[in-house]
Amino acid sequence: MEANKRSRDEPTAAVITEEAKKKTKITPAAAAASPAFLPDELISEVLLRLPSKSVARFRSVCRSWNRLVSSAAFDRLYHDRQQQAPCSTYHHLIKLAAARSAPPHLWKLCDGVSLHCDHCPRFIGAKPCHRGILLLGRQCAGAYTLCNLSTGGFLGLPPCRTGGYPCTAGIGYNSATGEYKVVQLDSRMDRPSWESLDCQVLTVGDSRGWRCPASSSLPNNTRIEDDMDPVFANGCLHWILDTELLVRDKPQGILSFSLATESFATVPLPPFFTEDLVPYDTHHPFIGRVRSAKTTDNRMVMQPIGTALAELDGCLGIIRDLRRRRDVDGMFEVWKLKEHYGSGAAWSLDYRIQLAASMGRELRETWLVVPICYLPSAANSSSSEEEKRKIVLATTAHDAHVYDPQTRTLASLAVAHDNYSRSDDDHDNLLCMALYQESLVHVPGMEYGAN
Amino acid sequence: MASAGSGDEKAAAAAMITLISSDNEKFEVTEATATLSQTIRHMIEDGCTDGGVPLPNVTSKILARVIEYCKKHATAAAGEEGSSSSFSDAAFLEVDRAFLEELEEFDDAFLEVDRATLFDLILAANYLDIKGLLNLTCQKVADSVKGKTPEQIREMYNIVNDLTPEEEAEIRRETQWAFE
Repeated sequence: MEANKRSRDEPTAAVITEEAKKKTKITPAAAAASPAFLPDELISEVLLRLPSKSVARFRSVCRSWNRLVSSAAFDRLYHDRQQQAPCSTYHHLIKLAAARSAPPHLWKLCDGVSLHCDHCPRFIGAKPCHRGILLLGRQCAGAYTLCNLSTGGFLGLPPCRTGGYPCTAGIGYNSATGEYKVVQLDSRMDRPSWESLDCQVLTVGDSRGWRCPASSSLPNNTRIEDDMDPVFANGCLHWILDTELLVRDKPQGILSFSLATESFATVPLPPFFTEDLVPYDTHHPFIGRVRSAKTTDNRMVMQPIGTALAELDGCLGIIRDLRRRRDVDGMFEVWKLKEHYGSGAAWSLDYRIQLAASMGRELRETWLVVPICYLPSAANSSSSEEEKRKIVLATTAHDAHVYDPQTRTLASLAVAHDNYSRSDDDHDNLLCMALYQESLVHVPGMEYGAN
Repeated sequence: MASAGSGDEKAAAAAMITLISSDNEKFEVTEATATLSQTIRHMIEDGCTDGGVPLPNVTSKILARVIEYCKKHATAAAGEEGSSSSFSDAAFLEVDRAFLEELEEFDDAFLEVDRATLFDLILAANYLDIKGLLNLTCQKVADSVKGKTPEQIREMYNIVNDLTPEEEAEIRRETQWAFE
């Protein structure tokens, strides 16, 4: 192997050069007691395993460490490693950040009318974008901040014009240009909110500020599930289109926005969608929140409440809620979109969550259950082993669990101590936590310290 | 694939390999143990292990420790084909919990060594390309330096600060967040 070839003939070189040794004031005895450090390639192996704060601090150790850590190669290795870290077999490497950071405040909607805006500021989405960047949003004010939680770096974005509710935003990364983009969809004040949504895009670092998307505007009459954060996968942000449109003469499926081309497209829904519609039940405890639809023969139906998008292994995923289906085995299914877009959109069943009868209250009662990431069970994952992977699930009860398909059991992973929830039966769509990722990323203009 | 693999493992278990340390000490190990080292695995595949495998970069003291590690972990690794993934992942392949805990305890005890030995183990793990051991030992060093200041690191490892005061001030400015 390459690494061996390099090291085979090399003496165990230390960081200290002969010349450097002469300069030190350390006595020979002391020098013998504390051996020299490792050769450069192995120093890098050690530094790769450190939290970003330690890595940044150790740039001050000496010139060669600074050069090593500042190199593009180290940067790539470090972030690739962090990307994989949450997918490690070790649970304790998974860290989640509490997403809500302030108590609810009153939000003046218009003259004399105000709403409790209890979801801001908060981190948007369940997973950080490229290299650990999270978007902190005060959506009612159109105020967004880019955050690197490990360095504490933050970058306030220019304020975005917002017409108010409904308003949804997300962050994505265009790998071709190396740019982060923030996209906001909101209603336009000059039109009824059900008529049209307005899209604004901001390329981080671009002096043009917020602008219309480059290629296309939103299709007319687009309605989305606006109380859910969009999911960034495969270069696009994704929103579920409102199911009321399922059977009408309007776009159906999942709305996608490509960050590269800045154009909208619709991804067809997985095949189970129509099958899962159940008769509308006026006695449903959350009837105000269920996603209803009207069929062509004018019957009212509703969609299972647990439908949610997720990003898994870089693909778009959707969770199928089977909790109220007596005729189907299992509690949830995860479906993955392997072929992207156009007529080739191919959804396939990726995973089943099926708990032992006595287990799973945590998942049975919560509003949404959102997959965060898989934990691989083995080095080489053949198809049979894929089935054995554990999965990390976050719920709108603000906790996270690890599901083990082999034992069909659930282990608690984290609880977001959220003091700001209105009440227990507040069935919002927020997880109140985001996956934490060690990161060294500095976005130009980022500030440190405050916050 | 899986059944063929386990058949090979059984056959391999019988084959013995001789490893020769830099100070000419000979160690007899099973092929299953030796092939945790990708370097040795490749040598075996190339059929150049007759008469023993000389390891001029590894002393008998360190080689003995490395073999101890490999023996313990070889059982857990059974079934793993050479791959880019780390050994620690493979260790979780259908191994029962009790064994995993035992393995963890073994690893913890294994790392109870002085700094010079730890560095020698890292060098050996790198040279022999034993991913699990490299991960284990590098993580140990990382854990021991994690909370330290640059000054403490220099002192611990006799590293000379060859940065000019200007350079150091500049780096400090860029990484101020890491010192808070």
